[in-house]
Amino acid sequence: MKVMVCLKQVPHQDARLDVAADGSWIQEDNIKFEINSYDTYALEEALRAKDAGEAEVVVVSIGPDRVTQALRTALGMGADRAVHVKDPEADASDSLGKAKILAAIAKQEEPDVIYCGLMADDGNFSAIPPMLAELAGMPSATGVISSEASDTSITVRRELEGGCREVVELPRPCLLAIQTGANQVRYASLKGIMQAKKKPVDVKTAADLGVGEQVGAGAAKVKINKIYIPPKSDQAELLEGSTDEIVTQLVGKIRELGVL
Amino acid sequence: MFELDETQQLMQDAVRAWCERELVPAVPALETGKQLPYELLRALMTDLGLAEALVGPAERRAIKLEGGVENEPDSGESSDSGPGLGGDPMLASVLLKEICRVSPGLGMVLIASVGCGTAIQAAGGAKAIRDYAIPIFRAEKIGAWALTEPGAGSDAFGSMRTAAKPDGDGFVLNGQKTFISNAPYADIFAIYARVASGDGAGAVRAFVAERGMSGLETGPPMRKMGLHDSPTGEIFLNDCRVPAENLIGRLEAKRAADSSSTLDTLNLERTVMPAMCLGIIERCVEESVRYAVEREQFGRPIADFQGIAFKLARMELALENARNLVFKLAWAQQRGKLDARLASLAKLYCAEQAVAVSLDAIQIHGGAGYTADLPLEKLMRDAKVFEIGGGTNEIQLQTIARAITSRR
Ligand SMILES: Cc1cc2nc3c(=O)[nH]c(=O)nc-3n(C[C@H](O)[C@H](O)[C@H](O)COP(=O)(O)OP(=O)(O)OC[C@H]3O[C@@H](n4cnc5c(N)ncnc54)[C@H](O)[C@@H]3O)c2cc1C
Repeated sequence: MKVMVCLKQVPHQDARLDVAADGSWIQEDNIKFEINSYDTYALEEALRAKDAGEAEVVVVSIGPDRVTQALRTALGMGADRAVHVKDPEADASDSLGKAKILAAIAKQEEPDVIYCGLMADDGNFSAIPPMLAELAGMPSATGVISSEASDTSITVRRELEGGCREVVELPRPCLLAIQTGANQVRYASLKGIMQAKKKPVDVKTAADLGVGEQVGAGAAKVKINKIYIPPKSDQAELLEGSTDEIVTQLVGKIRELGVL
Repeated sequence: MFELDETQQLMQDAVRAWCERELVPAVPALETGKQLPYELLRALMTDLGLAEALVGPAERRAIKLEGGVENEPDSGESSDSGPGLGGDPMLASVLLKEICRVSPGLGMVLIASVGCGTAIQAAGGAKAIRDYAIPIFRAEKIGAWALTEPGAGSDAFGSMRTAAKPDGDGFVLNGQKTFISNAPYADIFAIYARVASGDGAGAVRAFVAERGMSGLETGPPMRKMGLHDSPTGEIFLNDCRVPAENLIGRLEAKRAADSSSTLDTLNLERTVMPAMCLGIIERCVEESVRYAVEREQFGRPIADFQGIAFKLARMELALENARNLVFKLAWAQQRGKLDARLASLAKLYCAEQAVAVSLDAIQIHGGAGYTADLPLEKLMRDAKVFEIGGGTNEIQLQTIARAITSRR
């Protein structure tokens, strides 16, 4: 079995985020990055498939030089090899462009299962997994909290609204978009870390993958107009008095709003 | 050489992630004694594969000894690739630095336990390695390394009173140890004692004792200024009999070299403690810079005031120097160039700066820095131990001075 894991590197959850001068994105200099939290669960799910039987785990990421670190971390955790799409045009693509790049890799790699995170901590789009599944001609399931593979299919549990669960079965090959908290993500072990530098990282451009024309800023249908921090509102009202008085006033306000 | 390579960087990321997820949430319970550090030690060693990395070389060494090959004490942890964890001393430094950014006490628990295992591996026989070092490395057992006595601190060897009397096919230990990290809860103890008679009489040797052996008792954890997450205590030895194979090293070695494995462990302590101090310094500098830029008084960030800005600049200088020393130590270990002078000056400088920088960090944070809501007051209390344990500042100064004056 071969599985492919799509990883995105995002700003560290504790990083101080400032909007870039041109308002197009955040200021990326001098901030720490980490693997998107959803993707760490996707990677863990893939590594469990590897632990359970024979599986080659290929991790894939699109992004600049810094992404090497995310890929090496994944290799340190147990992935077997990595594909790094390092191409400014790829970075400038919208979700569809990125899905096309990943689909081109999937076409080359022919994985039995593609694991993605349900969404990215930074962009919150949740767009790429279903787009990639469509482009790769694979059935997909999102919000996955566990998966179990048999010879020809894969059975997954999905998280629904209100604490409900759903069990679905998909034929392989297929794509799974994993929810956070799905599993206990392992740490890279010292041995894994020592081996990581010997594992292959294939560096590619969109052109290498034959999709150079279809991606990039020019091909993007969704464009970011601006990034901004909403201005502070002056509608805040400070409640004063003893704790009891404040609580009484607060409950009154909540009732007024009809929330209670 | 002044930057982490890719492997070291990955190690740093992995340990930091572990600390953020597992250690940070446990600090309040560790600090108030509601939780002991040993479950976390086990998790640390297994989650990050430290156990696996330590057990491999220990097993190879035991096999080599069982094959009847000469027992040549080597530098310990890794027999074929190089000194230290994973054959690279910087990996242990990065590991300890990261732990000590959050909990210097857990760092101490780790070095005391693994230090005991390392001493056994370096000079012990195959049986001692299998029975004691490997279970410690697997984190199934907790180790303690006991040199200091009530009457023998800085002069640990000269004033040592704990005695090991040869008795048939073993030794009988009598004496008392104090300020021993992990002692209240350890399973395995490397105990230094003076050989009372026969071969090697008068020399100091290490003997392994186990909890449960008759004649070995430990005291309760001591109340301390800091390092609350690292239990410290006494060991009482009253006719405690240990079998012959629990002697670590050989009796008959010459006086001049007799304490070499102990000194190796001491040097080891001195090479890891700078990295531990670096963790404290790095965290304090990061927190202080962030706060000084954000906190405003008199309508400006406090970082704009020269009184604060110059403090930050000096803290940054200490950080740079401490980091360079940690790199230099690793470089020297890799090349077999580590000597007492370098180990002592690195330990001295980093310990002094950990105390100074953590005090400044509290000052920069004002009232908030003095509260236990921020990590700084804890780091400051914890930092102080590094000016005492592993040889006091004064002893480091003495070692450095002796090394440079004897060269003339
Ligand atoms: C938290 C903690 C954990 C510890 N863990 C361990 C452990 O796991 N194993 C272990 O064996 N020990 C351990 N120690 C003991 C530690 O190594 C000793 O405390 C240290 O070596 C100093 O010995 P002492 O306390 O007896 O002080 P002393 O030696 O009595 O020193 C008192 C003062 O006199 C100074 N002094 C002594 N001699 C000289 C001299 N020649 N010139 C100038 N000044 C001098 C000292 O620097 C110090 O300021 C630990 C200590 C602490 C606090």
